[in-house]
Amino acid sequence: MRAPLSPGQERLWLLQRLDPADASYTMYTVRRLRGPLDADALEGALADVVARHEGLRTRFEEEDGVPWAVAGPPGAAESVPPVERIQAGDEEHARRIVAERVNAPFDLAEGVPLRVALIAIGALDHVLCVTMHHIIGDGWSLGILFDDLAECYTARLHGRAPSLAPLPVQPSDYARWQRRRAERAVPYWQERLADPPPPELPCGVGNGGEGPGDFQVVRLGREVAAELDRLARDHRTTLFTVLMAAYQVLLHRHTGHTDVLVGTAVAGRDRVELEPMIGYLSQTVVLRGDLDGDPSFTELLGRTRQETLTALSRPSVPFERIGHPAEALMPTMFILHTQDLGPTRPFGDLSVGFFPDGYRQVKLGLYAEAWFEDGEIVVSFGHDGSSGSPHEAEAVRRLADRFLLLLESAVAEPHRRISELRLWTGDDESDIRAMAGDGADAAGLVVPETTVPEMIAGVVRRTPGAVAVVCGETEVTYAELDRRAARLAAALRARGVRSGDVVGVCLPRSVEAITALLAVWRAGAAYMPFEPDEPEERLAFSLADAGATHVITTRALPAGLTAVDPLDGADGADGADDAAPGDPEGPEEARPGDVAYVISTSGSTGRPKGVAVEHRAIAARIRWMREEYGLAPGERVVQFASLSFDTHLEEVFPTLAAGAALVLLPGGAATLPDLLAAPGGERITMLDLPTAYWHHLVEEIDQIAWPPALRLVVIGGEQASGGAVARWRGRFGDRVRLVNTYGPTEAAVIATAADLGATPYGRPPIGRPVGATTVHLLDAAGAPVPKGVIGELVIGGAGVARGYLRRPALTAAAFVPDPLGPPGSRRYRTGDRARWNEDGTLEFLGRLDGQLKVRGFRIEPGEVEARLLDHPGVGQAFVTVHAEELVAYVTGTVTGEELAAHLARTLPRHLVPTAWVVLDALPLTSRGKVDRAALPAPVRASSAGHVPPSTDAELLVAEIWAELLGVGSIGANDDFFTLGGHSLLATRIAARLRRATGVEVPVRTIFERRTVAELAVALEDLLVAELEELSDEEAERLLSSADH
Amino acid sequence: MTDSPMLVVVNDEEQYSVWWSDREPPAGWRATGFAGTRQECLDHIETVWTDMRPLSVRDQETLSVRDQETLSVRAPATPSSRDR
Repeated sequence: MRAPLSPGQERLWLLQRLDPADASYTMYTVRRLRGPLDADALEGALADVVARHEGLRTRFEEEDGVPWAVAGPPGAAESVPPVERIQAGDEEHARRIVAERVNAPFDLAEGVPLRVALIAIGALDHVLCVTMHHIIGDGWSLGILFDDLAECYTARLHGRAPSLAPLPVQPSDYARWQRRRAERAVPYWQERLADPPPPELPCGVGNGGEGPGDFQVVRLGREVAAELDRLARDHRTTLFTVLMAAYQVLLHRHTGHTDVLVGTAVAGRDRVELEPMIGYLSQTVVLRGDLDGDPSFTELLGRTRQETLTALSRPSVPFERIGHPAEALMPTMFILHTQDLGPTRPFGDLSVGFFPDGYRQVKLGLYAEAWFEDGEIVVSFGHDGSSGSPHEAEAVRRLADRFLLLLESAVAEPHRRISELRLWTGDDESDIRAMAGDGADAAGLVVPETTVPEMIAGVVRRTPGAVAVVCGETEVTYAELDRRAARLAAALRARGVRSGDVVGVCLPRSVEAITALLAVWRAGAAYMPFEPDEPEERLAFSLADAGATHVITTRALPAGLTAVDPLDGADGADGADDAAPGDPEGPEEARPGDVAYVISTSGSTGRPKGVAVEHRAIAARIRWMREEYGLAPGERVVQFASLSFDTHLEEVFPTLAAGAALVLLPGGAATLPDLLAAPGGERITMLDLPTAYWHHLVEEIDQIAWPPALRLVVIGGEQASGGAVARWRGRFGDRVRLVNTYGPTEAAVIATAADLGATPYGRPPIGRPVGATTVHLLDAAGAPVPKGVIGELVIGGAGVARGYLRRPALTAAAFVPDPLGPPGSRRYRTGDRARWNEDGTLEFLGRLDGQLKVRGFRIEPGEVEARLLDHPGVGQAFVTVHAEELVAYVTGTVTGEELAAHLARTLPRHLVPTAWVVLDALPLTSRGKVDRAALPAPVRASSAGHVPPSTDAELLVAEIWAELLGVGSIGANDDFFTLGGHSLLATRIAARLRRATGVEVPVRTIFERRTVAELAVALEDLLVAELEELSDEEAERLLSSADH
Repeated sequence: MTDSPMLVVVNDEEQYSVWWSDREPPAGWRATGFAGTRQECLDHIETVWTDMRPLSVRDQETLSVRDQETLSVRAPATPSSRDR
């Protein structure tokens, strides 16, 4: 007889096919039977039970990819599984035998997935171990099996027929019925689970790491258990609802999410005729907890009760039909086992007891199961090791302890808001105090009031002849740099710049640009750097916003602004002296409290905002970096970052303050691989790279000419990938130090740092606070949180910026009183989410708001959307990230090209989307938010007038582009940048071409030869040039070896 | 919670911020007397915090400007950030 599978069975069948070694769907019952056991009677009883239950005779056959359930005939000898009889040496041996069986997977193609073992420890001491795949039986079924077995065994001993009522329904009937029911439930689940929250779990579980799984078991005493039961009855609900609500609070308090998804299993035996059947009837449903608005626990109980009533009566979630991975819909589960585990019928003359099962399979990243034992409630937290942390067990243990406290607090004061329920253990409280102590220590640090200009002046005095800046062929000594800065400073003073002023710097990568930064300081002012091609409108707005009137540039400026040529005051120019006419005072020393620089950052309201950082803040950072990075004279540090981002400070000033040499990239940051491969590149000792860019370099790690002198790479800006770190270590061992840094502009470049060593990381940490800096993680109520709990990262100490220029409300909201710092001090609320790991390092977990990072650039989508909505042709706009690209979804009558041109007039290049999707309407969720899952991925078509690539070189270039750009058919005249190419990918194109041809293709060539055809010609030229450099003899050898 | 009543507070450098009304402001901060929702407090700060330089910096800069004016030799003034 052949029958279709129920939807639940189909799912399990598929899962087992996907991962045949997975034993987590092995169900088992293990019982110790003491007394005189009649093994033959037991085998006979097993045959009786198998004959009674169709499910225990069912195997699974596949036909054209579709599984069918095939039940053997009742009573046939071949339908009964053999009982494996084993003699155990002792109890310990028996335990091992049991553990082996309950942790073994089933092959569903190999007959009925049922195994029975009878293990003898002594003549009057046996262990019965029954295992089956979940596909033929659930937890309830195991109880029935054991009960029916007991009755049949007893009946055989007494020579009577077992007293069991006939079964009205068998699994094949049930499967057909359930298929129809499940189909009707699909729309409910699709609506209920639309737009799921991020699947984030406490303690970093689910990070994708690997480690051993385990169970952490805690017990709730009888009194609390009884009170929980009373609380449930008082609110006309069940103990399950109370525990589920508390579990949701536990997750919420650890992640900050108010929208919480928790799965559970229900018996699915709500009809009398289903009760005595062995089969997979239990249903997996998901409850969506709404913890918004900080409700009281009793109010939450009401919400959970309602949700429970609606969800528990439904068939399983059709995970395959919701459009999100199952882990996103059900990151965790909570199950309360209510069926009685003890025997309900006598088992002959045997006394029945428990025996340790040694079960080690964890089905999910994290799940909690609760059951009763002697009036107590036992709660077991299973975790699968996926945090990748060696401290996972410890962290989940804390979580389990916190759950107990939470439940005690909820029964004691159910009317308290969920944010006020007690959660932290004594250990947690002392952790929190210890972390607060950090703050006090840092506050006690005496920060020497030496400014960065003073540090550099010291180097000029000590080593005037040392090389300070290298730009192509040009090398400038410290004495020369100092002389140039002094002259330009005098020119600035002569033009009216005074202490406390802000001066714009808008120059390409050059010695003049570095000189300009120093000159502004020497003139007593603060510098505000811009991209050389900053849109005029934005440049004018930002400067006006900062009250700046002077800009060091060679560009023409809008009316009202004074351009200062970077060569003003140079030899031959007027006033080549420190004290310029009309400036009798001469330049003033920068004071620690003066603003050193202003960085324009993306503003969520649509306007950029200027972050003003004082000299004492940046001095603290530069001092720490110089020491921590061990910079010394003779070293060469690449200046990679664009000056308009504050990362440039981390490169320029520790280098100059240490008397080392700064190596510029006049061809742009993306030409770094060219610089490394060129003569002199081998002397580079330190690189400071955006994490996204470093990831791309690591992808092509063997194609990059890594300098032999390289000893330190600093990365930052985005979450580092554990895989990339492993690859890096694989290539360099411990020779090149890798430091992962984190920090916002508002806290002077960086605030935390971590040395990424050889330890494998699920998610590499951002480390600990740097010198003179404190970090606290705060919950929504502003209270500090202990380890394992996600909070907002708040930075205090010496690096905190002065604020946002002319933005009092924004400044007051973000820079708040620091109760743990010196009196009157402030700390900066980053809006970033983070967690303390067990080892005391910080883990970065994204944003509280919608701020984006694209290839290391910080972007407020609100700013881009506001500019888009300025365009009369745009109705709605939504900006997000897809595959390292900024994507704009708009409704209206415009094209992406028009909008890109519109934005380029007001926004810097990194804020202009590179992919455009025009829709009739933005898809919305039932909650009225943009439904991200329903947004189509941007599709790139190659340009009109498609000319297929023809030469070998064109075909090679087109193939590499297609792979890295993810575009289907690429034409010979297609443009790299139009197709979505960017500087990070250019690096990889160059590396791939080199790998394929053995020819060094400079990255800048990718920028200059932008079409397939042009690049192919360049590639051919390079090949020819390479051949010409060979002697005839070498060429001969090369050609003849190519023939073989 | 974000909707709980807040206070406008100020430190000795005359830098403004907000603090929970049911908690004592930290050392070095005092309540200005304005209370309301968080947004009301921020709106109030937008109007009263007109010179965002810390008090100590303001004093120094005022001093140096006065010195220069006393000397009466300063070049024709250009608009500068301190005049905002």
